[in-house]
Amino acid sequence: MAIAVGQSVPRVDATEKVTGRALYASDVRLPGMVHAKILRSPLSHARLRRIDASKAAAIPGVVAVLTRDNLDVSSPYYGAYIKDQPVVALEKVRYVGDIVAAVAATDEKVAERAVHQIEVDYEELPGIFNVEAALSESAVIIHDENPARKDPKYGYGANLIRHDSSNIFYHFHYERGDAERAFNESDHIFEETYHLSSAQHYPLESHVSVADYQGEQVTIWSGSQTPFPLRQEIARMFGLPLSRVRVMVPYIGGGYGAKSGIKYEALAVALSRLAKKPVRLSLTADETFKTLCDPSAKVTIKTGVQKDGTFVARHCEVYLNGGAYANSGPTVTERAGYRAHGPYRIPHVKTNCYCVYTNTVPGGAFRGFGGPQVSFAYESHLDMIAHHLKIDPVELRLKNLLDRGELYTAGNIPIDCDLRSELKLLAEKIGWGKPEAERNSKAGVKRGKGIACAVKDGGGVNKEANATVKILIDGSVILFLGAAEIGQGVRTALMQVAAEELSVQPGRVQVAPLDSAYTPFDRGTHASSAITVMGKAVQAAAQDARAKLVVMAVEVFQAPSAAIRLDGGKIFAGEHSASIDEVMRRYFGDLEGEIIGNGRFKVSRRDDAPLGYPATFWENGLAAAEVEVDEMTGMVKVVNYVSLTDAGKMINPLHCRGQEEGSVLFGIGHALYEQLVYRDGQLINPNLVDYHLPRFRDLPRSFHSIIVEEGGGTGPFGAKGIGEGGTLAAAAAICNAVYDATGVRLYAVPLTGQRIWAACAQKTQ
Amino acid sequence: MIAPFTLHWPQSLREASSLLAELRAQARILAGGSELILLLKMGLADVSHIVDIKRIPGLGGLEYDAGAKRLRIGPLVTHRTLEKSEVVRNHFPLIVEMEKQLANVRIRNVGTLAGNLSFAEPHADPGTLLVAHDATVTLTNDEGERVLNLEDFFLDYYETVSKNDELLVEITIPKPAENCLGAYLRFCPGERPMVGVALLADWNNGVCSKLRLVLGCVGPKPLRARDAEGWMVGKSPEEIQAEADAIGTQAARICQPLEDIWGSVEYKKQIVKTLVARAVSAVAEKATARE
Amino acid sequence: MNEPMIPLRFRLNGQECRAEVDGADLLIDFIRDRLGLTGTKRSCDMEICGACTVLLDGKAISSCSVFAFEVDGRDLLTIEGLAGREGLHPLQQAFIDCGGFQCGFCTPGMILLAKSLLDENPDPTVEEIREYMDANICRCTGYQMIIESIQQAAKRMNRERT
Repeated sequence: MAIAVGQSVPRVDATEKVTGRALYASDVRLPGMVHAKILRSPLSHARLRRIDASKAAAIPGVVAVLTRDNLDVSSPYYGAYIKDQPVVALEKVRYVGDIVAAVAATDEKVAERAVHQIEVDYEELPGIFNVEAALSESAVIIHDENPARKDPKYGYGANLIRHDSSNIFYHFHYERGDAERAFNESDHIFEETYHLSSAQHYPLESHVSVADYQGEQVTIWSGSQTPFPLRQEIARMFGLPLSRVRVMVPYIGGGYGAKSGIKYEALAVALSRLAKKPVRLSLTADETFKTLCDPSAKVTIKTGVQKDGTFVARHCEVYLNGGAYANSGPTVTERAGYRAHGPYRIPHVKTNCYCVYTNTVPGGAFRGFGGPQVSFAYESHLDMIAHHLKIDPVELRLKNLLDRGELYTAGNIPIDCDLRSELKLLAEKIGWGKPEAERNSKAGVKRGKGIACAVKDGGGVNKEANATVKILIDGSVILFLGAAEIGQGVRTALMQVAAEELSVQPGRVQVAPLDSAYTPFDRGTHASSAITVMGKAVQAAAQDARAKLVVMAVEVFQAPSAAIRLDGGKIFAGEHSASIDEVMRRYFGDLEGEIIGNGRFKVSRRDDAPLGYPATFWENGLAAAEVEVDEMTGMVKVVNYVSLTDAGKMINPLHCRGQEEGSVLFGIGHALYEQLVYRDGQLINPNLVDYHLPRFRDLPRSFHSIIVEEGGGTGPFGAKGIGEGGTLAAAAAICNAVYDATGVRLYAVPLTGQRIWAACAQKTQ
Repeated sequence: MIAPFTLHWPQSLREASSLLAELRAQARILAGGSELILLLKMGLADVSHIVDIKRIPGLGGLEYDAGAKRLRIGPLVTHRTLEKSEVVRNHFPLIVEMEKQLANVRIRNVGTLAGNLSFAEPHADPGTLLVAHDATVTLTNDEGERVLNLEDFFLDYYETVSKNDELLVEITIPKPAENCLGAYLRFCPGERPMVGVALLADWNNGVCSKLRLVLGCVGPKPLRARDAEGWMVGKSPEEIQAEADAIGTQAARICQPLEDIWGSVEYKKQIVKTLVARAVSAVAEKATARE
Repeated sequence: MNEPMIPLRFRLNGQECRAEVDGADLLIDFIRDRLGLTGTKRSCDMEICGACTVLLDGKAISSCSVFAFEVDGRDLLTIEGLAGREGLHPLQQAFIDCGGFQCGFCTPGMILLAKSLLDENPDPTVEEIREYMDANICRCTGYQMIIESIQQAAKRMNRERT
């Protein structure tokens, strides 16, 4: 009987969060702290001719003004893979909202006033707002400064194609078999193009950085999902040893990828160094919209099929609008490209995925990470194939879905879950194939069902995680882990893992705050990876601590290690037993001591793995949706929604459900409501009045989330990561349902009322 | 960041009027403050004086005058008060329905109906429905008082005929006839309604005897579809029901929505057409059932 | 412009409180910076998301869009004032037990909004919960578990009442 794992134990941050005592970066207050505001570019593309901050600097209360003229750093550029983003604009601004300068002052009002006093002369350049314009012959090159970049080494079937003097900053290519020949040998060829809009994560807590540069060291408080890579960037940019850069991550008010990778921290650090005071930089909601987005995508997908529905070949061309700076664009591109052909048995595949610079908000990490873009396409496309061939869409999927144990691509771990039985379960739950009691419930309103099945390679790539478990002299335990708490409950779940390994009650394990001075290195909290990658590290650390405890017990009990057993906080050796603290006190004698257990986990490189590293696990997202479409208004109501994902083994069932359901609403939001809208390069809806986030009213009337436990995960006790699955299947499931209801196929999301009405109206003509 | 201002707390209407007469365009009235604070935050209003009317006694009245059969609403009455009021529910059920859907409960707790009407936000619900109810507003200043039809109170986007020294002191709504049937339909894909349609129809001797059809959010101010109203008067519910779509089409023709992030002009007109047709059809059906 | 400060006398989380504010001070800044109660959160800053919800005389309001001086003579409840001497409020406990929060940023506002609902309607239907709570946004939970938390709290509170 498990002592901790598999139980919905209360969150370790529960009381703090419900009483309002939880500390977020936005709550950090330091003595003498000053406040920063940013001057942002009003133009989408321009050379910075002249910048004069003298008037601003003279305003009483202003303690520092940062421009390119006094940005004194070892390297002014940052970026996860391509270092193309400067702390403040150097020669150019590249999108409306780009950072030009910043002011630190005694309060925000003064800082805001000072920002408006900074004089800037711009020389406007032609703005490029979409991929077509960026790739045209005459297109201006947005990044002509040849940024430093770190290109990965791919394995079997994959390669990176460089495009110099182009706005394409990343081009991922994957190939197997001979797609062109296979198309010629197919009975049918289907080709379609799908569009997914860009979207905003909208974490309720905006980006906030507090930096305190003192002497030759700096402390940063930030809601960062990647504190250690952040530390690395800051150290590099400011010429500091890593040991002198300290990153503290309080609770984070929402991440979803928005806080993955360095964002405003370097700016706050530079200001603090200038001001010689702690600096707080807190964004408004408007600025959050102008920081990062999910890149919009155009996916052309072509499939060669035999008349019995067997897939033979697939060719995908994916264009991502990467915005003004690369950010995590390169990895999103490689993932979208790798995921584009879907979890199906297709011998011949060819995929190109391009990420393109434009003068719009930079695209980057977003829940689903390129997965939603391509799964929308391949699952909608599959339904159209089914309808053309007059095969039931569920049957067509069952025919072609990969089995557990089959390979998605050579050089990767096999599929670790039973997609076919999961799909069947889902179909049953939504009443698939049952005759409709009433197709048209009322005049002009039509009902339909749709289903979708998608996977993503989960766990990230090149991820190293470390953890430490300390057993203190009184038998209490502290767990140190670098996984950031963005709401997913990882600190609770991994506390449970540690407790399980030590055979102690969960309440006995305290999770230490995330502080790079004490917390061992971790690559970052993203890719649904923490439960597996950090989980294994935590498990190893707990096992290491346990082993050391056993060594002590051997001495204390004078028994062989094989006879030692841990259970419920006690140590047994034959008929003798003692509590952990008794054993430790007897071992250490009068001296106090503690046990330190260390653990590390990293998935090894595999030269044959297409992405250089195999996936840690396969994250799946299945969904079935039933919708009502009002053809007169185009409005879609989701009346029934069933989602399914496989957690391998749920460490904390309640929190798994929360993550799955949250990810579904994210997916529904993107399918029905969310899009960034530009006019001449200006983002016209950077606020919640004009950007619709899903609300209580948008919760499907009936919504069930199913989390299966197929035990195939690489994480502790067979766990797999979840939390993104819901974003993979929603758009296609809903679009397929709309097609079932109305006979109209929508090729672009979000499914706004206008789009649906226009498509339905056209069909009736 | 809100720029500093001078705050005034008049203790009487007279004091408030003198203040407004003196300060004119420099002053804004504060009741609930939702719209005002939003404007101040966006830096869209140059406001050096704020006149807070919440300390003036007697402005929070909500009373139904049974003799004159009309509802009298003071300028401090919040949306939430109207939403929860039994007297409003008994005599003006459509108004309760409309208030229930307005914005969110936090805004309804603080925002006043008077403030909402004075702000003349084109994408709002109350104006549309209250014009259909033949509501009037009473404006007062140093020189006296004037009563206007709500329809004439609205001038343009975010503009009323109210002079900058006038205070809206009462909204009066006559109770609809006993035989009145009505509907308020709204289309709100985001936070503010994109289209609002208010329909109130009186029936006598088997035909429609009076009709108000008001199109909201699709022009600078609530628009009465007078031609459609005129056509429906004198017709039976069956005749009206049969022409519901045509009435909708005609309504769509006369409105002037602006294209924005929520829809093209064509789409908005489609919504007007649909909501009008549905409102007309629903009311006609109820009238038929009642016969 | 140095206008005189406005004196305030009000009840804060059940206790008498005095303070002075400028006319232009917003309630949320007064609560977070002057009173040091950082449980109330700023997010959209335009009354849409509800992260800044506090209860004024028991009514849910957006502290981001109300002047600080409006609390004079009134009763202000922030999240810090919800738990009693005996422990957490049933709503707080229910949110923990039923997974009604994840990142926690919307949570103070969400819990206070729920309190104002249950104070007015102690036994709401699912539909009534949805309609009322629609005022506030959560980006993490997908809402269903918030509804269940409120149902759980209502059950407990009604049991305690009888």
